[in-house]
Amino acid sequence: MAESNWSLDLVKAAGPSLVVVVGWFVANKFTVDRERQNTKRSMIVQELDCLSHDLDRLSKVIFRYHEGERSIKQERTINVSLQDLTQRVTNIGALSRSVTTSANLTRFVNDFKRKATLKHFEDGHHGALDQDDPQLQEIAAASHRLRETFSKAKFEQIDA
Amino acid sequence: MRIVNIAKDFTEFPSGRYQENGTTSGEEFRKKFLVPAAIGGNETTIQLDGTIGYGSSFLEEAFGGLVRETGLTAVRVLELFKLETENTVLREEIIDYIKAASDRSSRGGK
Repeated sequence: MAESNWSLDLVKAAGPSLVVVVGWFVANKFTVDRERQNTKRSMIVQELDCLSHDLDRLSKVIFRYHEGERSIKQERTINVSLQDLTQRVTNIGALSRSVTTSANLTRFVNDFKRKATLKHFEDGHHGALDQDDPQLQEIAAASHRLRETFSKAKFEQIDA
Repeated sequence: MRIVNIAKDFTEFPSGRYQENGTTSGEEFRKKFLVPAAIGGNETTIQLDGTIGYGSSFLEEAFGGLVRETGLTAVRVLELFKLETENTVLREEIIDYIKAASDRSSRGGK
C-alpha cells in the first residue's frame, strides 16, 4: 500500500513535466511540418513562374518554326523543350499531391504539345504556314490555356 | 516479358511520322517493334526515357497506328504493352492516342 502511494506521488509530481515535454514534441512536430509545407508550396510557386516564362519562350520558337521553312534544328529544340516542360509538369503534379491540379496540368500541357507537334511538324512540315492559319491560332489558344492553368495552380498554392 | 528501350534499340532522336521520310519515324518504330510483338501476343515493356523527346506526330503514328494496323482494342494494347517512363504526362499522351484510335475504329472510322 505504501509502495502504491509512492508511485502515485511520483506520477503526480512528474505529470506536469510530462505534459510539458509531450506538448513540446507535438508543437515542434507541427512547426516542422508547417515549415516543410511552406517550403514545398514556395518551391511549386517558383517552378510555376519559371514554367510560365519558359512557355512564353517556347511558344515563340514554335511560331517561328511553323511560320518559316522547315528547320531540323528548331524541331530538336522544340522536342527537347516540350520533353522538359512535360517532365517538370509531372514533377509538380507529384509534389502538389492535388489530383485536380495534376490532371489539369497534364491535360493542358498535352493539349499544347499536340497543337504544336501533331500536324505540320517534322515530315509533316511542307512549307511555311500563313500567319492567319487556324493551326497557329490553335497553338496560341492552347498556350494561353496552359499559362492560365499555371496561374491557377500557383494561386491554389498561395491560398492553401 | 520483352523490353524495348527506344533510345538504345531504336534511336535517341525519334522524329517524323512516315517511314518513307526517315528511319527514325513513328511508322518505322511501329513496324519494327510494336506490330511484331502485338501479332505474336508478346507482352513488351516500352522504355521511353533517354531520347531527346517525341513529337506528337511520331507518338500518334506509332501507337495510334498500332491500333489501326492490327485492329486490337485499346484494352488489349495496354495489356500487351507496358509504358515505362518517369514522365507521366508522356504516358498519358500515348494512352490518349491508343484510346482515340480504338474509339474511332469501334465507331467504324479510320
